[in-house]
Amino acid sequence: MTDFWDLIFSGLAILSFFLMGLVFDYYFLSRRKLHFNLAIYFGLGLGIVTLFLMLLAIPGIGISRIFVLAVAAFVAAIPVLDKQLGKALRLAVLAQKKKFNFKILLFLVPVILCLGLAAMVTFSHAIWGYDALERWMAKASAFWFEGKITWANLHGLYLADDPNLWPLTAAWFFHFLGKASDFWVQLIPFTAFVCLVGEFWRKVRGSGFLGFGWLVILLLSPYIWGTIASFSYSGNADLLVSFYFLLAFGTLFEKRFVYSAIFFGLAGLTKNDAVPALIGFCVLLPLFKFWTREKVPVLAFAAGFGMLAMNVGWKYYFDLNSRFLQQDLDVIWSQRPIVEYTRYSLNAFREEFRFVDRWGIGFLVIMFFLAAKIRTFFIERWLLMGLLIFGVLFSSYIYIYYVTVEDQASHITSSIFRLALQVYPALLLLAYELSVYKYKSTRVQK
Amino acid sequence: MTLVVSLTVYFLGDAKIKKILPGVLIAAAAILAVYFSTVQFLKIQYNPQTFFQPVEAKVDQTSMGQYSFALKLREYLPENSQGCIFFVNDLAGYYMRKELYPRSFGLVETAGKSCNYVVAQFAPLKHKGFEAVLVYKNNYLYKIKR
Repeated sequence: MTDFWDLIFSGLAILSFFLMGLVFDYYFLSRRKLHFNLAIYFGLGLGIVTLFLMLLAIPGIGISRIFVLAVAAFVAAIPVLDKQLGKALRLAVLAQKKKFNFKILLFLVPVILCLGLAAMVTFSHAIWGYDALERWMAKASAFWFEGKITWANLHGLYLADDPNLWPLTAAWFFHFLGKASDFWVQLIPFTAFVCLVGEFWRKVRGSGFLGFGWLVILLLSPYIWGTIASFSYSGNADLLVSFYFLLAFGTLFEKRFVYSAIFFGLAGLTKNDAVPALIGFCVLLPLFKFWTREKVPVLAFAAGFGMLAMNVGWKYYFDLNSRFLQQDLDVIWSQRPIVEYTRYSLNAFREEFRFVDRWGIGFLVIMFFLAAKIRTFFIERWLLMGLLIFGVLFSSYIYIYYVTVEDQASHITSSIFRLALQVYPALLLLAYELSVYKYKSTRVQK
Repeated sequence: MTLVVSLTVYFLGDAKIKKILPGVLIAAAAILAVYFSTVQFLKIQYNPQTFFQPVEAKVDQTSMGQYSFALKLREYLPENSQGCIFFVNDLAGYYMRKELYPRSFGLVETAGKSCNYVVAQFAPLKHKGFEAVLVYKNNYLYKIKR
């Protein structure tokens, strides 16, 4: 019976993330126009909870289970009380329902079966991995137990310079459940995984059978589902970064720049590895606006720089230095040959991309379209901006491998597959956008 | 090599090849994804019965019995207690440190007198100054005699 109630409260906690994202999007981003997208709502919901708890930590305000349930109940009441939102929501759900025809269901049944199998494997175990037990879940348990972030629990026995989106959302989940559970909390990354797959499907479904092929490449790349299904990785934050990158790059290609800024920012609040992407976005957005003469809302710049300021300001306020950057860089530059180190890292990435047991031939497909459709980047400049952000990200990965506090080879061995995971879905989306760009122009020529 | 061949065929091929090759590549990648996923899935030797077990049993199984040991420890140790976890298995050690929060237990490789309590996982820790105050399925909590 306890398991049943835990399941109910876990489901309610997940629902609370969706509702928070929905309400925030409706009132603040799309200004009372509902663009129904569950993946965006879930991503925003996780982000809102994180930012809310981070802001409460500054004056040292704590939260309790009653408070969390009350906030969730209040947010859930909004679509009921606001009749306009309620009606828009009903219409959006009906519109989604109409899109499901027999042909789509035929495509989706094997996908749903795969997701079901992944769920069975995931919920056959609890979290049992290094990063999760040493950092993420340790922080989450402490944040939940104390009811807030304090200087002491932030600088506990774990690495303090890691960002806190995953532990904070897990702590919110624990408040719902009334206890810290390494089993039920897997529902957060699992929902992110389902949303990631769903969002990717939404993007590629227009290409019919080929679109289904793209979806299979993503869903059945062994390391994507393996991250969720394996107890060693199910508590890691990398899949959340993948999810945010997919949303950020996806909205960038759709020219919804405010969302891109927010999602790049939230990726940066999930793992420090993603911060260079946010910096790249903030630097490149004004340049590309000038180059393309596209209308970019001021809010996009404000959101990008605001998220960056929040990230850096938070680290400064709580005295969270980076273990990679807080070194004597002069000594490193003078003693480590940068060319050899870089070549070693590049070779490591090349080997990783060829690792079919993790990625199938997904990276081959990505590289093929990046090279074959290189001309497209100069026609569709926002795709070029996406490519440049990936360039910034990979440069930062290689730089971190250069200034690493541990041995370069060990660092690469223990982390390169996680970095590849972070960018893989978004890179696959970029490859898809390149592949269909030709089809679009062919259609126009006809 | 495959990439170089694919790109060479693509760039040197006629319009028909340019049209067909991307689709063939996507189909091949999808089929290979199914193949590699099946191989990986068979490697984990998944037993579906574990899914239907009670949650506590699953958690205890994953944590190699440390979940139920942590419950016993939390009952015994006051919240302000301090001690050491003898470092035999890093994952189990990290797990126990997390489970014992807010009790302050650090991981040590040699448990000395500075530890008030010592948690030993999976095996006893013999020392004349150690008194076993809790024993649970080959896991031990020692109090150090002053």
